[in-house]
Amino acid sequence: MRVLFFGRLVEAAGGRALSAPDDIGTLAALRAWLETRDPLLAEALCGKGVRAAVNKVIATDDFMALTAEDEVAFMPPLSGG
Amino acid sequence: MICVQEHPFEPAALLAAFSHPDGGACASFVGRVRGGGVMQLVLEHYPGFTEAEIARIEAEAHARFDLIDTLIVHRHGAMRPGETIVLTAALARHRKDALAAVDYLMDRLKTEAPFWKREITPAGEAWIEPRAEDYAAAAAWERTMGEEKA
Repeated sequence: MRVLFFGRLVEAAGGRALSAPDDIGTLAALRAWLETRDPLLAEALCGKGVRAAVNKVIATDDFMALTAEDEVAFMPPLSGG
Repeated sequence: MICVQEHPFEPAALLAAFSHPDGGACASFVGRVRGGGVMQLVLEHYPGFTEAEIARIEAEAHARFDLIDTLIVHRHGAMRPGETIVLTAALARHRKDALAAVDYLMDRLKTEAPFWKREITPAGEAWIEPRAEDYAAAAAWERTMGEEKA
């Protein structure tokens, strides 16, 4: 599945997007997989105000229904206007 | 109406077209890139998500104030000092609703609109996040909402 990063998280991730294994089914499992790959990135994703969205809808950490076709985005605090 | 776009816009032209027979009151705000050492402001957004979140904020303004119409134009991409970033405007029968709606929309957009700002100066690049005052302003609308309901 596709995982996107925005704002300062792009620096922590080393890029805008990466591919996560299709069999990851929960946000918690995705975070755990990212932790094994890149502990510093996983730590940045736990930062204050970082939110996740699944298919452009905000999702909480207990989100359980991820599929291979989903798009997950991690977003740091927003700043519009 | 909401436009999220990369290219510059001219507020005067958009406001001239923003009218309604019952809209006796029109209020607006224009935000521009500040100078003072900033060479460029770059705004990232999340296509699809950004528009949906702005639409949610706009809907909440319509629920809260007695409005005829609202207009939100927000740019993304690279911008230079003096260029427009955002325009918010509200049409209502009465001025209190129009003025309060523009204030409300800007306080919500400053803290909740899905953009990520990077300021480029001669010294380098820095990410910009909302100030404490921005969060306080948005929170104040929550408190007064509570009082209105009580």
